[in-house]
Amino acid sequence: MTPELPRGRTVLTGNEAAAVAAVLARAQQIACYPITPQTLIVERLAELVAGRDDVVFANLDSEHSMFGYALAAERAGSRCFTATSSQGLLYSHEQLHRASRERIPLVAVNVNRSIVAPWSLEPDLADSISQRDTGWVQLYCSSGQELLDSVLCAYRIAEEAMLPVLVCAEGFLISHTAEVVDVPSQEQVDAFLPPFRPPEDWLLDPRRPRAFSGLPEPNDYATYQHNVAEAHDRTRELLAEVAHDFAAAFGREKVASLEITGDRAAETAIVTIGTIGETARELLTDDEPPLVVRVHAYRPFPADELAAALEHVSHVCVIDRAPAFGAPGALGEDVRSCGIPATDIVCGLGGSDVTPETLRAALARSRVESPERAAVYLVGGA
Amino acid sequence: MAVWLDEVIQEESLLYPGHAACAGCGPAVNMRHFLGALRAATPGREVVLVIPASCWTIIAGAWPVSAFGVSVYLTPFASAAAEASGIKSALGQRGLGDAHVVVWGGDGSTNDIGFATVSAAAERNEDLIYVLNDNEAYMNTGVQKSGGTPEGAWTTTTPVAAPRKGMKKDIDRIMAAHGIPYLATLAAGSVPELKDFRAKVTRAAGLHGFRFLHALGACPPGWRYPTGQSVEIVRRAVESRYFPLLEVDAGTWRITYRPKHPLPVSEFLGTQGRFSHLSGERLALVQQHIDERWDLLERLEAATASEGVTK
Repeated sequence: MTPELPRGRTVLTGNEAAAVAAVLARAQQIACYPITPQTLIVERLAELVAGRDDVVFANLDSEHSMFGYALAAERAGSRCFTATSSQGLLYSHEQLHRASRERIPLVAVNVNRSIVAPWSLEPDLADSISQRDTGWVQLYCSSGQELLDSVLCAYRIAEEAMLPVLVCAEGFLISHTAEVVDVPSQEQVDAFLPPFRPPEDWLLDPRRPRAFSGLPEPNDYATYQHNVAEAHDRTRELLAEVAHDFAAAFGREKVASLEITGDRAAETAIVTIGTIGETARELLTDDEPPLVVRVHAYRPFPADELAAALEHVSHVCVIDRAPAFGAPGALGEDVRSCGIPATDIVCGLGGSDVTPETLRAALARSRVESPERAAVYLVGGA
Repeated sequence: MAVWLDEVIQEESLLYPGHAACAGCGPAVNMRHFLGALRAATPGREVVLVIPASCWTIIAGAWPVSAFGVSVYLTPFASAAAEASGIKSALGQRGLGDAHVVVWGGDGSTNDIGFATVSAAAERNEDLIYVLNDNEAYMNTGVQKSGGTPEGAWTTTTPVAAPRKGMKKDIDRIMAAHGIPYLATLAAGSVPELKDFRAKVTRAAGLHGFRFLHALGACPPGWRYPTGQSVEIVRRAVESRYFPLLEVDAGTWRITYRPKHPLPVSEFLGTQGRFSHLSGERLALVQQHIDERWDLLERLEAATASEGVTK
């Protein structure tokens, strides 16, 4: 017998919240391949859809096959869900690129985990940050609630923009941490998220023979890529619209692109991503509290909104939770690309603790060191 | 003889003139007969071709033109069998599950980079027809050795000074070991081979589950022979037992064609520049391996004659 979904305020881990969201979103196909710390998502989904004849649960032979399966199934008309972590996301790299270029509105959850070598199961963001140029919309969460809400929003975003969406949540810090999560009803979700109705001319329909992804002339190839870029540009507004609709439908605020906390007149700002954004808010009660900016939508990057948020700030410290080799970190680069001078601090790698003290140390370091072409690494339990 | 061929091929081709295959392309002949026989066997059923990176990425036509009268979905190199599984499943959810979903994968894709995925789709017994389009090397990239490259063959990565060591992967036995409902080898040679080819496609079309069709595809630029000889070379591959015509139907092995007077393998190898360096002991060794494999197939047929050995 198919277990019932939890409803209302319930204690769930992040992984469980993601699984529940996929069911509420009426994903018709779930493509599965295990990897820690994501595995509990697909395990829970296997239980939740067992015995249902309207959902296909497919056990694949690798993440590469899993993404291939899901992308092709979307192309043939099914709303799909999948989840992975770390090496699995990297193993799928060519499928990720192709997903956005084929305009496939797949929603996937990436439970962030650091990358070998050496082996580690602990969280940092190197896996998904390193996929930033694959053309996926990337949303980074700071709680189980935000993970559930973002998966629901992701289907709206993906299917309206015809772009794939990767919802990211740090392993263990979110995936295995139980918290109170408000689970909406199926009726509420159905009212927010209409059934998957992709454009007819996009769909693979055997009754209308067509070739997909055939070799174009160079200029046509370039147009394909430009179309993806334009879709991303349009998605900035769509993120705000969906967040607005979400709040109206569920009576709960939803971050669209940036979460900005504190006094915009503050002298200093911390710009960060993921759960560190939650930690940074603990500095708001310090004597000289910084403005805290948490990037939720990393792609498309909310450049104008960020520039406006930091307009009155004179010192910006960016916290990257992914290694930077031969250049500043990815988020640091993005902030600088908005014309904002910023010091980029790398910390929290491989699950290293990032406490309020770490962030105070990062702020202090950023005042005395500001290399142009590198990140400042905070390692060794600062 | 031409009249007889007309009797075999009566339907309109679903591979259109203007496709981008090389002159003399054996796999193009295979594709034409495969699609024709599939459509003739099941006239009411649509077809979706799922094609991993290969010559067929090009042959299919330059966007937005298609050389096919059926849908074609081009995929990365390693994932075609998984993607076909996804398409079949999604079409089922839309009430279109009757369509044949067909993977058309090369020997590099099938034996090498996509092997795990092909094996997994077979193990799941996905309702697909998988055609191994075997031209025995990575031809689209310019003739490099694959797991399907035969013993002793020249390729650009197994040059004459260091030709292919070891034997071609026995993909038929490997796939049959998955216990799939149907497996057959196909050769578009002359009329007898063609009738065998089309009968096997017809058989596969009427079954469900994972069906594996292994088609030999003669390749003029890769095998080094003049373009007009593809059909004759495939015929000699069969007559020399280099490429045995067989099927495994529900676990029962059967050699579907026994050459009355088998040609020495040199009569096949000698037609192609890729084997021109083979002689003496090395040639004798190739003949020995071909004879041994034929004996093995005879034993498999005898051993499974009464009932299937697998599910």
